[in-house]
Amino acid sequence: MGMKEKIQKIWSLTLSYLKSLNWIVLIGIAVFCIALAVINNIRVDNDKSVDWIGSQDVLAKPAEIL
Amino acid sequence: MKKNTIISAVLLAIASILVAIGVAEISFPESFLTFTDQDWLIDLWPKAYRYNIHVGLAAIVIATGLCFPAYKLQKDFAIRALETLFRVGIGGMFIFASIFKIQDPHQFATLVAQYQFFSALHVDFVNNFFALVYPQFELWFGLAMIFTPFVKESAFAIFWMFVSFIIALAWALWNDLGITCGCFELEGAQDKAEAWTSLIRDLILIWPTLWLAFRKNKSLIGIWKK
Repeated sequence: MGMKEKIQKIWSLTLSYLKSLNWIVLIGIAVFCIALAVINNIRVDNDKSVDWIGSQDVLAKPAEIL
Repeated sequence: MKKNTIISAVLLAIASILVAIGVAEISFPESFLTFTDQDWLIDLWPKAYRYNIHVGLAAIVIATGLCFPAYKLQKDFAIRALETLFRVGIGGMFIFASIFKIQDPHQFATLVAQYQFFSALHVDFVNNFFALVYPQFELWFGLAMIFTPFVKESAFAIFWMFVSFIIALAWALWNDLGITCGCFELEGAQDKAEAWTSLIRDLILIWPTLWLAFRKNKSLIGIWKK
């Protein structure tokens, strides 16, 4: 089997595997997680919550620790 | 047949203990499972604590080796037992790892920001949202791995989470960021030794996760049904 055929076989096996997954469950859990993340950020104290969009400060790198 | 099953079970039990010791030595020094930091050993060999990774890796190699005779003796039992152990172990690890991150999103977001990965990609603005959502993924896919029959889907998700951890840790080491992993606890920036041990741990655990991603969907009880 040449390289091209091998790549095509790997590709078709990958597609076949992806099709075998239950995407409703995967996306369902993902959406559920996003919803819970939103609720959690509202639930926690102000000092533990974060802005929805943004980042945090990059701290100074500590001195080398032995 | 029964004798083979018992021997296989004993071998797998020993392998499980060795894996627990190995992961503890690599990632959780000073826990009750580790011994390279025990006073009695340090008295005999003062530099023992420097070899925790070596001891951890050796324990995991031996554990892997024990799986082969267990498999040969009783193939069916060994496969079921390994699937059960991997699902509970990996799922449990992810559930445990998610708890502190869900309790303190701000600290975890700060930790994620230290990797400077999103800033390198010019998408800093996703940092906080990522820090909010990712621990939920860890928790619920970890729970799904243990308590639902959807082992394929949960292992598929956890596999890609491992890939992201490995990329992030490799990035941190490559850039000499000297940060803590943030996998199981929230600390300030620390030395990069923890990043190395976390990377090694994840490089080991990704393989059983990949194996689980190809298993048939069954509940933990369903694994043991004929």
